[in-house]
Amino acid sequence: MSKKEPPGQEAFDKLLAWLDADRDKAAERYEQIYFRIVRTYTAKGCWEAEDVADETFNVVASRTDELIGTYHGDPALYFYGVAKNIYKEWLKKNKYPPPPPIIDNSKIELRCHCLEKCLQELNPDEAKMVLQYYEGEKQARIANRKKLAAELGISLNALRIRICHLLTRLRPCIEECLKHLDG
Amino acid sequence: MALSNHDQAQIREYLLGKLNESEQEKIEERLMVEDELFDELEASKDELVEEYCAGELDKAERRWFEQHFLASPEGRERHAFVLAMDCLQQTRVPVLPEPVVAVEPERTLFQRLWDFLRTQPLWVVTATAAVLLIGTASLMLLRPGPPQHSLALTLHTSTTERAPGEPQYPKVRLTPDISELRISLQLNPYTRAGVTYLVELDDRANKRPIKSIAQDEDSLTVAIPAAELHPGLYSITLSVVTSEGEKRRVPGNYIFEIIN
Repeated sequence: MSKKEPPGQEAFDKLLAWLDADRDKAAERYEQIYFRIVRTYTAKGCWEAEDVADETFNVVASRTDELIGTYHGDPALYFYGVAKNIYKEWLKKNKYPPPPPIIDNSKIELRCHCLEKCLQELNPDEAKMVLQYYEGEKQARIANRKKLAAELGISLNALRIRICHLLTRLRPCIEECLKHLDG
Repeated sequence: MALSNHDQAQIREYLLGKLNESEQEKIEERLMVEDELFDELEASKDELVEEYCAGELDKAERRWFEQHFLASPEGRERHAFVLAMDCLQQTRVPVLPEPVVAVEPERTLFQRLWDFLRTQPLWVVTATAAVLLIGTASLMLLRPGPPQHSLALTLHTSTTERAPGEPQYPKVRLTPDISELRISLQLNPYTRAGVTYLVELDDRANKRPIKSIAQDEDSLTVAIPAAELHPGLYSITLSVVTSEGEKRRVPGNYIFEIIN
């Protein structure tokens, strides 16, 4: 992947202005697009998705002047177009898939401890919901989730998404806790 | 716009490498601008990791998933999360039905005394009345000077027992006028209302059961006679005894220190 220089302050300001006239909203949009690029390319197996996203933003920032006058449409789609090409370039250099993941079992207990601790930082109803969602195995777990959704008066799909959002809040806490234990 | 079943199926296929390049690009474009579809991607990642851990993916899917999503730092983190959740579920208190116990309404001392006297001959009634009079007089004469008090304390579970560094816990000084320490144990997400817990006090040398005197949705109260508490660190643990007689510890400890 050829590296583009990170944008200077002026180019960065122009990039934000292109995303939204309101600087706060522009910053939110910036983070959202960055996050989606990382998560999408991770899903495809790119283990350096943050590098792809960084490079994408550097390239787009270097083109903001021309984009402001010529590009019409959702900026996120332009970012995606650039990211796609950068990913293809990355893929050429990383043809061989990596070996299967190795899980260090000794770390699981630590993670379990951190999960326990971080659940206490959610409100009690949310923590209970997460724990109940993961109760049981196989068919019993599926039946349990349907029951939980019915108790909450929401669809199973809405429950899945609610849990997904709760886990998104839990994860940084767990990583922080693990860093603390390692340090 | 609500997601269709087709969208959900496509996201799953996308994660398992079953879409052609053009289909992948269409999905990726939508992921950049559609919030619901992006949420679906995130939820599906967790579900596929669960299926991977449960051995529910077929051989080709398993291989693809290992070499793509699970090869990324995010994939490894989600894999470890599911294993940690399984680990936590194994130590967690199961949901037990509330035991149904037939309880007779408690009778007052007066009611019990009256029932007793109704069935006794006259000389027993006279003797009992005499004993009661003497007993009441003795109590009035021997009553100690200053009143005795309970000291109330509220504790939350501490997970510091396994964490490095100095743990934080309340320090309690018991003055001579305190006859007992009443501790309100705040229940955590692993505990459930309606379950009877076995409460144990650990002074690092011995562990012994203590009685709970009250329980509501959020807390459980125990009373420990002050005479049984000496300076030092104490830990209270909760366990639940399953219908098979198995004792299961509730994660977390309630720690406090008695100081001079």
